[in-house]
Amino acid sequence: MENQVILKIHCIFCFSKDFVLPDKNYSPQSGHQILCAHCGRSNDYDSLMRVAKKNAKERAEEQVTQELNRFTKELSRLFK
Amino acid sequence: MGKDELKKEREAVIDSVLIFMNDEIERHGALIAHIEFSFEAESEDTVAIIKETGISYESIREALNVCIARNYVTHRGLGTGKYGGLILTEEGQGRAVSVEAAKHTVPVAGVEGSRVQIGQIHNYGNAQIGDRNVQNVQNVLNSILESIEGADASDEEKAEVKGLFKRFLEHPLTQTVISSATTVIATKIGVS
Repeated sequence: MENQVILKIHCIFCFSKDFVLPDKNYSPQSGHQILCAHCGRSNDYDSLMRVAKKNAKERAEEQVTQELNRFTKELSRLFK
Repeated sequence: MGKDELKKEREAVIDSVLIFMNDEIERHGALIAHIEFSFEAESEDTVAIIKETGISYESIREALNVCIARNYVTHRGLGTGKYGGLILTEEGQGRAVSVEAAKHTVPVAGVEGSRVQIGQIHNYGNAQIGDRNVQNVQNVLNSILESIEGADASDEEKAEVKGLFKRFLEHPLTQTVISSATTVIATKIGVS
């Protein structure tokens, strides 16, 4: 099971991972709009984070389900 | 009209459809999963969107096909027709919000082509993923524990299973996802 997952955010319009940023150390804040380097459209940072969190939640739930299934199999094996 | 222009026009219709849906959701003060739309011919939502945007039904249908393919909207259930029983997804709402926000704010600009990794989501700490399912998980874990206790097995076998259970409960991701439930159960079997 993965303990840490790094998610890259995607442009909500064209799904590109490249954004136009003022400098390399720029860290977007809530309320900011960031430009996609591919399609040039403006993305609402809060919305991008909401989508990323939803994807993280789905991924974590999937992993927990897998672990529960594995655990159930272990239990069945022990009580055979 | 050229291919690029047609694509651009289709993207604009997608924006309009998603903004219409998001406006309805916000007007009702509801969550995206709670408001269902039907864009079947002559349905209430179809009449309303055509009236509001002036876009043809054919264009709306084409845009909806793209929205479904890109997961901007999704079907809530079966048997409601291709354009019925649709709900907005986080992605769809995000696009609608982005389009509206772009009308009022200036985006951050800079060096083109910068690749950025924004935010790392760690499966540590007390962030609890999910809400209404914790009680169910606690019930399941309780049942497992009771089954172990009541099983027709030797004390050694029970201790072995409890050890596995303990390992599962102590795992960082288990703690993160179902923290409150695991804490209760862990206390019951003496996991500090």
